[in-house]
Amino acid sequence: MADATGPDGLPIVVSGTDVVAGDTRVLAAIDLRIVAHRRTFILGPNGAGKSTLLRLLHGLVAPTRGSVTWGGRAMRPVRQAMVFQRPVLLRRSAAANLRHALALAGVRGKEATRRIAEALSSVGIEAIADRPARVLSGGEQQRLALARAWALAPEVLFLDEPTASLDPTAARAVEGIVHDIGARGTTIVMTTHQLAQARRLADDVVVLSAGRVAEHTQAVEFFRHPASEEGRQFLEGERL
Amino acid sequence: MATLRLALRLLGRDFRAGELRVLVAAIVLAVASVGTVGFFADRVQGGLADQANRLLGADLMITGDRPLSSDFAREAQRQGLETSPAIRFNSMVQRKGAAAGNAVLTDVKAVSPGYPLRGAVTLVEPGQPQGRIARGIPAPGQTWIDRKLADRLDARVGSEIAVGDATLRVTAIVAQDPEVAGLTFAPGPKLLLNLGDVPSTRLLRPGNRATWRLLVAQLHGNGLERYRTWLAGALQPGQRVETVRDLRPEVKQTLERAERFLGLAALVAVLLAAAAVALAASRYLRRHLDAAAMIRCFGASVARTLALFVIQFVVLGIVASLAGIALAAAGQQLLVLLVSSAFTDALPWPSSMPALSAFATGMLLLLGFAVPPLVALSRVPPLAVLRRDLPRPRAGGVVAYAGGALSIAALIAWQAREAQAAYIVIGGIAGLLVAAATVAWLLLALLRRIPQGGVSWRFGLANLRRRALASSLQIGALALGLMALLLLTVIRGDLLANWRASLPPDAPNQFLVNVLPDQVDAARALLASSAEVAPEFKPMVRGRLVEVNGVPLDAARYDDPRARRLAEREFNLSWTDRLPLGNRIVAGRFWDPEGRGSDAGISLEDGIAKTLGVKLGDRLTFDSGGMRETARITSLRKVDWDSFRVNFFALFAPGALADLPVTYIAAFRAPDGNGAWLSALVQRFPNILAIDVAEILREVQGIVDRVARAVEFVFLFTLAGGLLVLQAAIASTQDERRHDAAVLRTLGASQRQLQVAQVTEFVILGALAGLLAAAGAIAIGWALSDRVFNIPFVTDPLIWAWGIGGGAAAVTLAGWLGTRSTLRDPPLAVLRQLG
Repeated sequence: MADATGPDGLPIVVSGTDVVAGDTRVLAAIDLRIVAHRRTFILGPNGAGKSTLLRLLHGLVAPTRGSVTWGGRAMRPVRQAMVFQRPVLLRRSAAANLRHALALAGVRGKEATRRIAEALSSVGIEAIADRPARVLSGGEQQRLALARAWALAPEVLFLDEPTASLDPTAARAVEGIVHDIGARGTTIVMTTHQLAQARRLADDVVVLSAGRVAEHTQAVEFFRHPASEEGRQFLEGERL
Repeated sequence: MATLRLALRLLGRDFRAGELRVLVAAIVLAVASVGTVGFFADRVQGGLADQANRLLGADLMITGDRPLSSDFAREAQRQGLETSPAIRFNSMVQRKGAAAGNAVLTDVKAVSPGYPLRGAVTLVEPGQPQGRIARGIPAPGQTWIDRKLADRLDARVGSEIAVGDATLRVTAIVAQDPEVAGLTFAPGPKLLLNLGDVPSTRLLRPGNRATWRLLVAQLHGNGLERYRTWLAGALQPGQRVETVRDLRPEVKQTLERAERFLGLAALVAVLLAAAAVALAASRYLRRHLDAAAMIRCFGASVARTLALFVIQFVVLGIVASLAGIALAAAGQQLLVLLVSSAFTDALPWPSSMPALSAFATGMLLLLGFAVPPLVALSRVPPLAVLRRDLPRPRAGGVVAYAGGALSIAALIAWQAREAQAAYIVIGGIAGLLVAAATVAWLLLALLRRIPQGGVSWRFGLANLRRRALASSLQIGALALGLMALLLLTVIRGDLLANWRASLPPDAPNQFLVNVLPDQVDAARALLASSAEVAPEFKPMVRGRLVEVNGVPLDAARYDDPRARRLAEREFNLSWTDRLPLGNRIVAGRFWDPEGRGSDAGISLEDGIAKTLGVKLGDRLTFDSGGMRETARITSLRKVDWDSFRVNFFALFAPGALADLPVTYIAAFRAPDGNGAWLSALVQRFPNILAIDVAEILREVQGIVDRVARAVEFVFLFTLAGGLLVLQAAIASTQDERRHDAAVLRTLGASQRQLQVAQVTEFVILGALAGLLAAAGAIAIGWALSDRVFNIPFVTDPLIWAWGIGGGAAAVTLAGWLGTRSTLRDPPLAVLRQLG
């Protein structure tokens, strides 16, 4: 697996981390290193803890035990963005959604306007900039969420099954955007159920099973020879 | 039955989850405000009705400002009716002998055997809280005094009291008298004596202001109606018949007006509650879409789904309305306590009518404004469970609320009891709300142009602008409540301060009336030595205007009640050789100093000339004790009444009124107020009445304060209504706020940034409402002082600080309490919960 030095918030290092919710140990003894400029896909069956791991990496969930560091620091960096399975948007126009996010990142005025136009155009929804976000279709909403993440020029973009509730056409469009964002140097961490999607987009793969990391390897290796039994079962459809 | 059980279960769950808090609060507030005023009005009405039955002490009473002809009694007896004459007048009363202290201005009633023909006098009896019913009347040489006078004189049974030249022994303390007790404002102390003792007091001399009465009652037979018919042709000018029906019309009218005003103020609270109900019901609709769709999925028809929700709301309405009535029962008692010292009598308990009407208000409000969302809810397609992108059902816009609007309009018309007043109030409130909302909208637009600082400010402002209509209405509603309170607190204080400031510092504080011509020199000397003042004594003749240009004056031809009163009663005439200080001629010419007799004419006060419809050159004839004086109006004057100097409506030149019975009046400023000079004066001249202006002002001020407190109390409901609308609006956007806060937090916003954004929103909302409220209160204050009170208007600039600061503080507090939870919850949990 390739290593890299890069932006301030990377690498993300998870060491001996447990996450407990109520009586349930959702994640156990996680050791993981996410490096810059890679597209890392987290795979695993339902209930494996994929979304929790993603949130742990984003800093939305605090570890019960162990530690998470971003670029060697315990403080979660600002330049991260998250896109959820069901897009969460402000009840404002498409452009205003971007404007508020940029304002929070300290980008205002002409620079903000430029970046809004650029981001909307890069996901192909510049024509609906002034429409209220809540009346957009599911695919358009997800593209808007990606545009918003993109506009913030994050070091790391976290995606939690962003195509799960989309039809194939919309899903392919979203995949294209994710690819483009990655190609511009943004580190991507994404969860998915879809092996084909991971095959198309992933550089690295993390296989999660019952809250533990079963395997962390390059995607090409994984799809050729999964190193773990859990990875093999998942690949062969025995565990979904 | 199954529907009912399910409805109750769903209702219980929603109630425990706090889903219905605003809805319940709005209904409780509306019912409590209408109920409080309703109960209070009912008790006052009940009090008036009770009194009407016993206040006169008779079935009918003839009153006159001169002794009544014996024909009245003779005819009554001929018709088989009972009669009892009485006289009522004011006098200074004092303890006799060594215990003599201050003299007290007292309402004296001289009664004759048989009094009262209806009802009874109740006397204080130790050991009997209810007192005992008096038999007969005070014997000659005796007097019964009420508790107030006993306190003021420190007198008790056995004390001796000087009434004029007579010395009377107190033989009883009156607890309640058909007229001593009364539903009157600020009654003075009272004293009853035997009619036979009046001559020995030597108080009723020509020029004295007294009311002669004849009480008439029909104890058997049916002569009363015939007697009334006979009376119609027998009454002379200055004589009136009073029956229980027209008893104390001015008190009744005043109270009715006060009730109507309070009622309408309460209705403002209802209107605001209606807005809160509509907002809360639409939130209910949004939050119950899934539940409704599930119920439909399980096979419930539209009708059954509707029934399920309507049953919940009906039960909710009943419970909330009953709670509102309980609150109203406590509120009205507080209202009665606030104004209780304005009444001398305990008020009876209220009837159940106000409770029923308040209950109806609550239910009308709930069903009028909550049914449209419920109907929409019952029509949710079952597919809505699966398809979040289906269009969400709406309550149906303005038309759906027509029922609610109509019920509110009907409520207002009912409360106002007159169509015109209802239109004015509906129009006024709607206008005020629209004006406030428009100004708020403009201010919000203006704020957009202000350079915008941090992201929090931008987000807070964006929230207000995004819901511009709702924000403007909230600001309007809050401004209404705040304005009412500012008016009643700051502006009222300013008006009183301005009025006091407009009084000259040397304004007289004492008036002496009823000074006989042969007492003037001695009184002047006594005042010079004991109070070191040298007042000017002015002559005063009491006369009634009987003819204008030779045509007898018919009071009935005046529509204006004030003109009618002036035409029926005596007024004070005087003479002078020069224009008094503070008077200004506005038409005609005042006579030369050497002008004499009626040829010089009359100088009439301009305002009364307008009221009576007379003009320069008209010939006026006055009658004083059967003697007439006629003269032309040669000048019209403006009088500065605020100066508190002695002034007269009609002035003659010296010599014109010389043959008529005259008394003198003086006004002066006694440095020590009601001091030792008074005692000396009253002991020497018992007929002279000393009126302490400061005391009267204090009494008037006391009444104004009490009534204002009652009004303030009712306006608290209005303010609560405004805050409730705010709360409902916050609650209705609560999910949205939580969602937005969660999204912003996922985008990296800190809790502090979000907090500042919310506080910014509420501070702007409250400050704008306060700004509008202060502006409105100042405008009304100006209109009142300029148009009504005619005093210069200077307001304390702090009102802006009170309005803006108070508004911002109140709204921010209410808003913060309502929204703090939106920041507390983890964003992921919120997003998952809200979908």
